[in-house]
Amino acid sequence: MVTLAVAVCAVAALASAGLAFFSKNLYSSAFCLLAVLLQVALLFCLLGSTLLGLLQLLVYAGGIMVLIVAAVTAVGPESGNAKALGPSRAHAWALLALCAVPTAFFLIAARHCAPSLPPAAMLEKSMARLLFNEYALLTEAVGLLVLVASLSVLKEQHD
Amino acid sequence: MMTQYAALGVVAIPACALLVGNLFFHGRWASRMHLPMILSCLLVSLCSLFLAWEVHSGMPLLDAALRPWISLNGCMDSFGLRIDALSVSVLAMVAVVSTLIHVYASAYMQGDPGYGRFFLYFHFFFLSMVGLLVSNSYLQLYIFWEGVGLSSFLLIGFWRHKESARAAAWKAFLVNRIGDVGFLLAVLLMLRYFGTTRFEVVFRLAGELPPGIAALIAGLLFWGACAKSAQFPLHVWLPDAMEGPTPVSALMHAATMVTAGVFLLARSMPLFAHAPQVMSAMRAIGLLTALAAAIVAATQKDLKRILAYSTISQLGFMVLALGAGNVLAAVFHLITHGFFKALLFLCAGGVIFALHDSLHGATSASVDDAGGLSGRLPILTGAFLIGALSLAGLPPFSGFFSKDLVLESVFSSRPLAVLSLLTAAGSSFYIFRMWLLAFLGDRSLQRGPSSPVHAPGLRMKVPILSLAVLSAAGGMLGAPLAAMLGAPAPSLDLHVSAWALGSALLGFGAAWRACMSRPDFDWDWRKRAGAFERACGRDFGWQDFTDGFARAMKECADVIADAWENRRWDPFTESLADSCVGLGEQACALCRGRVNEYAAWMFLGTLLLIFAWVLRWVSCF
Amino acid sequence: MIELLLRLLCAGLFILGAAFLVRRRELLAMLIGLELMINAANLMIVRTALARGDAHGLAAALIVIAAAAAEAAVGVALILALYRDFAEPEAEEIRELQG
Repeated sequence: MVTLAVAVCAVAALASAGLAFFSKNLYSSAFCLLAVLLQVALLFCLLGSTLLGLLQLLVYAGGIMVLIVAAVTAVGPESGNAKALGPSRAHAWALLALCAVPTAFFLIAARHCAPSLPPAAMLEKSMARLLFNEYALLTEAVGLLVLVASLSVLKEQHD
Repeated sequence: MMTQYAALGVVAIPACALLVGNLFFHGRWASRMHLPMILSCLLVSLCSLFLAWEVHSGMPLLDAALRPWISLNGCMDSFGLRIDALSVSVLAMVAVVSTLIHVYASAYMQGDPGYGRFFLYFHFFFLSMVGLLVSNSYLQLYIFWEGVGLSSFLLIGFWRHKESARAAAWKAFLVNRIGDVGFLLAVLLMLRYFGTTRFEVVFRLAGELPPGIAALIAGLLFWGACAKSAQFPLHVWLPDAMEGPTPVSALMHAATMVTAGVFLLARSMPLFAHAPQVMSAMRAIGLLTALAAAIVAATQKDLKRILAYSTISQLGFMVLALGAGNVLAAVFHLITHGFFKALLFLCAGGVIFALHDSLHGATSASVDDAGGLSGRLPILTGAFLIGALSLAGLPPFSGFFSKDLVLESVFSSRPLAVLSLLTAAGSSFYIFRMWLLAFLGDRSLQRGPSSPVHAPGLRMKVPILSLAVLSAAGGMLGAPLAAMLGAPAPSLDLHVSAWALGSALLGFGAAWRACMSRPDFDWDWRKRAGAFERACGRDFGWQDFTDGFARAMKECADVIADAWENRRWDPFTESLADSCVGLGEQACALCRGRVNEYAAWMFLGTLLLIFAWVLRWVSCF
Repeated sequence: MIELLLRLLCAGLFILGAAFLVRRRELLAMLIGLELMINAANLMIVRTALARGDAHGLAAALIVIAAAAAEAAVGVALILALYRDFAEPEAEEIRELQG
């Protein structure tokens, strides 16, 4: 079952990426990227690391995608692309399907693979310990980097 | 110890003076450039007189290698100093005469826009000559030899706004190059056969050379000396070199430039002893040059050109003495000639300086421009007379003793004796002719000074008077010089002296007869014998030959330049450059500033790396 | 089976991202391509870390996510600034610093 779910996610991710590649529209490309990120988050969960999946969802889908979409809308009309304002209707349906089907599979598969979770949970615990002990400096640095980066983008959007 | 320091100082002091002058005497201070130079000259004179005293009182030869310099393939040479009787005697004369000429030049060149530059060149000339004299190997001597050539080039062309000065500078430089090639080949041959060019080694081993090689080396050295000392085939540069300022001519003729060649020959005498053919060539060329130059000098009108030909003639005497193997006579004549020729040049310079306003910017004067100056310039007249008496070889002036020695050394052979006596009479004739025409008499065709005459200042009078004393009394140096050189003390051979005195008086009488009894004779014969005058003016056709040779070479070079350089080589190199530019423009397409393309190249590179890694992985099995 | 699927997926995502980066001229699109590539690589890291039970790999994946977030933010900020200064802000127009 898990294998099937992984296969569905993989196919959906590849299809979304292909859609992004072949669409001339920046806006729909951005949404395709969102779909890909969603599939990757699902795959993280399927492989056993729910924490990373959730983080992926939070950081990418919640943070980066918002930024990109905001940037696209901010500059869209001037970018010289007539279709820049939004995805076509067919495109939107295809994307929706590409997101919904794997999610459904995941919800079904998750119930089946629940017993395999504990060792992964142990792993996540030790990861957290590593991050705040051995890699503490690195974690702090990356955190600071994210802060500064978000400040910069705030400044730009404010201007 | 003192002697070593003095020997080092002889070279080091002028070098320091040049550095100080070059670094600190700029702008307003450029007009005081003579101060460090004269100071350095004085110190060098003191050092060299001290060394001369030491050598005279029996100091052993000082031959010190200071620092190993070049070591190639078993050939070794070092910078070093050699203080022996020969170098120290010439050195003392050079230093003293140069000091006086430096003082004179500081007055003569006053107000010239290139005053600072002049003294730098001038002192570099002096430094090169001094370095040449104290060298202890042919290679080191060659370096300073080239330094002398370079500074003579710079000084002859000092007034570079004058076309003729530039041409003369080039002529001097190129003719000297022709001679230097000979010297350089001799140095290379020595390196080939001895592995070093140190005098000690070369002279000790010279006897073991195959005779042909010894003659070749000696001949090449003589060829080099011919150019520097203005002997017959290569003398053409010296008369033109009068384009430089007069102190330069004085320095060049008396102390630094032309004496270098004679010094080289005197220095190489142990080597020449193994090449008797070259010695006879030296006698022939010396005598030919002396006689021909004396004849030409007697027909010239320009003050400095007369003196230039006179120098050539006197140098011919020295080469003649060296060809006869008499180093003492040559060096003694070199020293006395240094005194009286410097004196004559400084007097000529004084005349030019005095006539400055009448010459309208010309930098030399002819005997027509001067004339009847004795009343207005009594000191110059007297000093010039002393120089003339000395040059003509009348007792008790210095030239008498040295010329007597030269004549003695060739008196055993009748033709040589006759010809050299004729030359002596000729030198007496031309120098008294010059004195009579320039300072005495009232002739119808003489222009004379048209504007007020500048009397020479103190800084010009003192060197002239000192040199007059030295020219008058220089004959006394013969005995100590002979003692230093280890030759028997010169004793006057009355037979020779009588002949010499007779020929000098004959020359004087002829000059008096030609110039004083018939006031316009000097102009009349030019009208009647124009062809002869032209022939003399062109060195009996030799100058035409050299000019034609130079012109032919230049045309040859032009043809080559046009046929090869302009038509073939330049288009070829240009097409190379063009194709490089084209290639570069094509290659620019690779980096036209598109980030996407750069990313594509990056991925291609990554792919290649992966491919290489896969290959390695596959080849492991 | 899962292994093979994931490898194919990662390779496909990476190549599509690279192609995206090379083909598209708009700076924002290039940023999207970059995100695709980062995700492909990250997926592989996570998979390997989980398969080996290696917590270090997971930590690395987390840091990659954070760094990618920062990179994207800076990239967007830069792009916005460029859009403000250039009328036609495609990558090849901005070459003032080209040698």
